[in-house]
Amino acid sequence: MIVFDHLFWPAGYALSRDINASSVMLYPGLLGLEHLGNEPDYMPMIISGFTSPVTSIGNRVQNFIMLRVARYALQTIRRVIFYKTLNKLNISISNPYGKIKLALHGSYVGLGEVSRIQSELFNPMTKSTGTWLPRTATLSKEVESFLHGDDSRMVVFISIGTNAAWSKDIVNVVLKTIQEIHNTKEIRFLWSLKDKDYKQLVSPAALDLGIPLDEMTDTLMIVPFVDQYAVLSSESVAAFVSHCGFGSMQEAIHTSTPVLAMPMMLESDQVTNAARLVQLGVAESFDARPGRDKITTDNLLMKLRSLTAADSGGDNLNVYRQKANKLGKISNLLNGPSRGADWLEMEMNEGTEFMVGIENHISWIERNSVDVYCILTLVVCVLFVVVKNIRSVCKKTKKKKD
Amino acid sequence: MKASISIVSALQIIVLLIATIIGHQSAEVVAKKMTTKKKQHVLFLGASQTSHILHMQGLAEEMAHRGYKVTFAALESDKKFISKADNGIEFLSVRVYYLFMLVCCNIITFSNFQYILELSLRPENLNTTPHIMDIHMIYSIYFVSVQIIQSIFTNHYYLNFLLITIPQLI
Repeated sequence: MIVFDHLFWPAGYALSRDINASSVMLYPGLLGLEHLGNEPDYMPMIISGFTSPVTSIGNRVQNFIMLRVARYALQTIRRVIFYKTLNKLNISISNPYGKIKLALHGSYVGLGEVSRIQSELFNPMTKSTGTWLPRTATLSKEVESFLHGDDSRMVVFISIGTNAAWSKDIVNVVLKTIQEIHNTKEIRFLWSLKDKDYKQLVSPAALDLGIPLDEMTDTLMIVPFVDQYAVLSSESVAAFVSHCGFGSMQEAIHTSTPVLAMPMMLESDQVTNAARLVQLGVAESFDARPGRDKITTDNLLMKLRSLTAADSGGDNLNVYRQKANKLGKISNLLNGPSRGADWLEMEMNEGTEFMVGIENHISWIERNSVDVYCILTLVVCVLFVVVKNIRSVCKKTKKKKD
Repeated sequence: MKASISIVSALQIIVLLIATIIGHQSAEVVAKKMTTKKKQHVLFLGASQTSHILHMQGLAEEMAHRGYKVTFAALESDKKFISKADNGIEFLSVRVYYLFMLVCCNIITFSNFQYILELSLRPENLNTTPHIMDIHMIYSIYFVSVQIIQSIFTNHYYLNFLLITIPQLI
């Protein structure tokens, strides 16, 4: 069996066909662009960060138009070019879009009814299973010691993922905040930061601000790489400062970790992910859209303190932690890996095609009941004509009598 | 097919073919093995974003736990996530494959898409074992290219992905 990331569906599908193996497509994160189908323009986490109910009507109108341009214009163009070329070469390749029978989505947060999402070109059965985070997670001895050593202060984990980039202004704010908390000894920080960012941004900024990072090792640990899921799984971690990428959001929910969301890529899904976590009650957020929240030391301190307040890890949990625990429990109960593996086994051994609903095999006209509307309209018209004729006949008869 | 080929086009094609042969030998080995034991062997193809690979790994671990032979194809740089513990998952490096895809992506997006498509889809290339990945590659490249073009119309998400991620990979 070939199991492939949806970004590589053509390779995965074609390879499985060549070796006559079954295939399943996975959506580990967001649903892809190929699902430019019937999703409403306000649905979060499709293409744009500005596709959320929390955004303005202007953004939604723009997104509405762009989605339809992409779907109807571009997909039609690519279909015509692609298949016309194949036909011209007399290559009998069946439409690969329609050959993938099963797709699994490793999430359940904020996506609503995944089964509603369809498109003319691409229409496998899609099942949400819950996240597939691995069982194995490892930490280096240094990080392990920092998290679970003698110091009983809780830890705030800072990481903004692989693709997002720190800005100088935000680095300055973070450094000042850490220094402030170092003085009050409230909490500690574990900062996952690429070497390049440390050398080019953080170290010079600390020098400029006069913050001696070397003397703050009891409060701050900076590491070039750390297993994020393993860190978040630690009971010592009180909050997660995150860019709110989809993977990070899933990991935070699965490990019941409150989040301080700092979206870094405004054109991505990070803004709506952050909004969703705030809506779920497990996060504080900076709205990074232009003209919204300004990230200052005071703001950052206030939000961090509210997230970690009165959280000593025992019964004394704050409201964010309580809600995070509830979501984490649901995420763990879903047992995504097991449910996903059940589907893989089913597809591998018996096939799941028989489970595809009949609605996927009927035409667009039938699916949208266009034929029914036509008949009803015709019936109404006929009735109207009949009634009109009867009335006119009645009137004539009455006139004759008079 | 056009009769005349420019020097640039010819060079591009040579690069493509060399990269194809180098990049997919390992995948062919896996494919051959799978034809004999396909019911017990599950290949995960996840050579894309690290966060995707991390999440797919949980599913791969579960399949390994259930007694299947599991191979996970990903970038060499992501090996540490997959082989970090004795989790029963065999790692398959696809670095060349991925870089090849990116190179093709650029070529196809900006120049002679039509010609390369025709070359790669010729029946003699489709039906011979040494070139079985051609068709897979062209599907992937085509798909990614279209996504990039679409993204220009839809808030530049993949444009950002290209500008930020690809320089890091290379």
